[in-house]
Amino acid sequence: MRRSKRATATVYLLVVLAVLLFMFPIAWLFLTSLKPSTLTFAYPPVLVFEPTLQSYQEVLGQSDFPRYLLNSIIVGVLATVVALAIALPAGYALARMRVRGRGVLRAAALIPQMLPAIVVVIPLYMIFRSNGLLDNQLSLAFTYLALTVPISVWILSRFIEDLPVELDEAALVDGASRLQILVKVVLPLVRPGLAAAAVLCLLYTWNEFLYALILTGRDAKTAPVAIVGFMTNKEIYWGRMAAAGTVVLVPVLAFGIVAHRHLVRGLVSGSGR
Amino acid sequence: MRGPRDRTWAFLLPAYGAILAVVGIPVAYSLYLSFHRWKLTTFQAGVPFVGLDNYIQAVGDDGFWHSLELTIGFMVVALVVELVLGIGLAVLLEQVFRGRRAVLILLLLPMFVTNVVIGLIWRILLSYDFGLLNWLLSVLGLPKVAWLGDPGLALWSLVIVDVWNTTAFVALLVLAGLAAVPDEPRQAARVDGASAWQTFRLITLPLLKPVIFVAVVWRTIDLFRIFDVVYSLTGGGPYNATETISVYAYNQGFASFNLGFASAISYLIILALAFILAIEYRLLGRRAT
Amino acid sequence: MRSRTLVTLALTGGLILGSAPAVLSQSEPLPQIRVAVWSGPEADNLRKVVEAYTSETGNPVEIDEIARDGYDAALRTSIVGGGSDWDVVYASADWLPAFIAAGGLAPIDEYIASMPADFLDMADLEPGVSNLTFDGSVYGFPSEGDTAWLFYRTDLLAEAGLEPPQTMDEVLAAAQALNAPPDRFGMVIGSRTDEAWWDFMHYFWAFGGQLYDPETLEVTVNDEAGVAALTFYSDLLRTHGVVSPDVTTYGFNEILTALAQDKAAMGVEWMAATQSLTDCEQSPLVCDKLAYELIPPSVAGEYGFGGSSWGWVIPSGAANPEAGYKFIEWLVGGPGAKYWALNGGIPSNTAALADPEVVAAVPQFELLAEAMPYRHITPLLTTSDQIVLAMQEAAAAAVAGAKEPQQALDDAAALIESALVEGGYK
Repeated sequence: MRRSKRATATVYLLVVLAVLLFMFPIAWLFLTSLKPSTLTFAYPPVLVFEPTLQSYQEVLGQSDFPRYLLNSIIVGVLATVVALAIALPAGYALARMRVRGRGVLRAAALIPQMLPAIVVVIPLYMIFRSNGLLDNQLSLAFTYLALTVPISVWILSRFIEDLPVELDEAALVDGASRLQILVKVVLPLVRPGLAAAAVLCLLYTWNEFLYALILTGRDAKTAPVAIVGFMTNKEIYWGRMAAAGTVVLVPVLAFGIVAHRHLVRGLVSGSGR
Repeated sequence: MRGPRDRTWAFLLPAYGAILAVVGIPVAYSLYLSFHRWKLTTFQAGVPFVGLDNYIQAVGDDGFWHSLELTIGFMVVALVVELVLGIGLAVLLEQVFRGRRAVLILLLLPMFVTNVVIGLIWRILLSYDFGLLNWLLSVLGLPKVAWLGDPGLALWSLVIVDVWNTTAFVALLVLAGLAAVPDEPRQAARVDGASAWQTFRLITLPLLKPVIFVAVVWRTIDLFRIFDVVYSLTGGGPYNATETISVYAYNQGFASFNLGFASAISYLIILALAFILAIEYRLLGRRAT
Repeated sequence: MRSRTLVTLALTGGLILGSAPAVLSQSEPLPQIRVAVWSGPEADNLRKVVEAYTSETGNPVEIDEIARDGYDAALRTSIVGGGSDWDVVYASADWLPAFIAAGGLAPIDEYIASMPADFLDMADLEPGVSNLTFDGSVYGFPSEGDTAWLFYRTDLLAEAGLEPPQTMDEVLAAAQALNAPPDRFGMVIGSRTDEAWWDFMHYFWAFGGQLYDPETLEVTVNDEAGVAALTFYSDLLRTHGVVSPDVTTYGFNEILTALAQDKAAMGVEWMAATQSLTDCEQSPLVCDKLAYELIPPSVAGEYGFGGSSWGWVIPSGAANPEAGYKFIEWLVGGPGAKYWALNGGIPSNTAALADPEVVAAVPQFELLAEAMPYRHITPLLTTSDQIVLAMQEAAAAAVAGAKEPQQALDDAAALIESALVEGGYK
């Protein structure tokens, strides 16, 4: 379907506007990370200045931040991959199979998502502590399943529900097992849902603060906890926060670039068409 | 639809088992606590059963209702704005244009900025004295605005921040939904002479209802419980102008480790949230014919 | 030859045998201890001091630096879980009654009695130690004991022909004279809801306010003095407009930034800010134009302002309490205090504060000594956090215009009353 020149121009204009609006705070974050700390609050705001890498040096070179970032990545990826792997069958069961109390189960899946973190963390802390499970990435990833599984189950069940039932029925008639249907028929078609759920899972674990604070120490500390550490009793280290905040986006960008083909395929041109 | 050898439990067990394993004991324990008096200063001496006292205390507190009202207001406005902008953005991103992939990736970024950093960056941007927005206003000859300092404005500034933070993801979700929507009805309508807007309103939008429902539920839960960004941006202030229900719960119970009371508030929050979600299900969740 | 060899052997043997007792009696290093501290200058300072401690005594120390915003949550969770995560913990004196009631801390009296070091002089540690003493038992050694100053711009006051204010009325007059909105305001305050205690309480005590009568425990927060204080404080924004409209979201950090960036001509701020405000690398706009003085009272000469009182305490479940004790004894009572001061800390050791090297390096310690008699710290009660919450609400509400000062303080009085009752004090 051809598009008029005016429509094309409008599209580009809107896209540029959207990018500007959404990106300017991030641009500001990046600029702040390059400013000497005396300029952070300079007024009128300073856009042209002599950049310094000192904040990056402090964050990357003089602190353990890179290790904490790595922890965040490991924990996030683990929690996401495991969550998707177990949420897919559950979502399928809720959407397609005869489940007694389906509505209740589906709603109940969301309850862990609604719990305030502090209610959950103290008993968890005591259980972990008495079993020597504190301060390691696996324990934290396991805990994060409470954040990633519920919403994944929910999203995937909805997306699967939307797929035409006839496909399943045809496969059943052909003698396929449920597992085969799940893997061969549903999985390729539910890619958009998987992509959306994956991004959401990564988002939750990436940002999570309280569980990480209480359940980890020096070894498994994650990036958000480290960043909050830059707000101290005597001053906020703005330069370091901005640098750390920018650094935290680098793996996200990398993930986007590496996975973009799958993401885009999943989000825009999916459905196996 | 039932297959011959459905092993439903095997499909459900890993997910629900995992959830139960992680939160089962904590949920049971916190529910138990909500009916007892548990404070840091008294738990050594005993944890007496107090029935519904904690719940009654919460419900009897003006602050609780104030926070609830505030949170619902904030949630509704932010939800509507994010939905409208998100759908618009998704439609835009569905168009083919050069650099679309790059734009998609860039739009992921605001979501992944650490919550605390979001609060701090926007604190600078919205600052009366040092902020970029006020500087732009003054350059245009307009008076400065106390985005965060004015009790009447602070909550709406929060909406702006959240919209910035998550609209792109709503857009991605809708995009995913659009991807799952078959092309034929839309193309057929255009061929029949319907305008783009008509096609969108009468064909696309209804087909998007399921994914819009997903987006609404997800945003409802997150907006209702929003904490990190609010706390680092305003601390719940000015006074209590941005004291959302999670900030209230934090101040009332967790700051001083009054866990019995805090647990009761948490379950009241869940009840309120469940109620709202039920309404949303009524409106949007029912399967279209 | 053989006799010489014999003599050499004998001498060597004698030397060895003679020095054996000395070698055997040399103490082994104490077991490693874990110290919890919140992130920031205290943690940085601690690292440097620990280096000195370890090289002097050979005792290893591991530091656990915890984000300030999660610090008390982490401490409380640890206490609830048995308090065995650390051997030494940095804590504010007003947290201690609650921690003790929760069974989380162990007194250190027995260590002081049984194994004091030579350099330990308990008199040097007053009044800090009293703040850490409950029911007759000492629970730790005091660390930071500071106060706040009124910072003011000497250049701007001179321009306006004004002397540094000596009373609160003069403060207001100066603020109005120096007020140049919207680019620079006459003053800055910080009534952000979760930080309003410190800022407002400095003014509360400057006006002669009193939380409750120490004998009868009658709550007096809403009496004339208290209302006068809150009226003055909130009028700065609501009536006189001498502070930025954003002060309803300001805390310690924003006050510091406003002063450093020439956005306010005066402000009350913790003395910890002095170093960064007077350093021309960190605050180039105002470094040589800011001076500080005791916070003026409402009535000339009748000073009153706030201060904090921190300490190093030992959790009840600590694995190595004796080693922990030895560390804090050295840190606070001995050479550590001087290192602490020279590295930017504010020790609670009067001997260290009076040390000429320290005084030369940190001139504001002289003013601190003057200020000590007028300092009020947060009440040391199991329910003091509720008192803090009540006053924070009152201050934030009044400045935001949600309540009138009298109403705000009346509400606070009711909350403080119930806090006293709940804590079993009434």
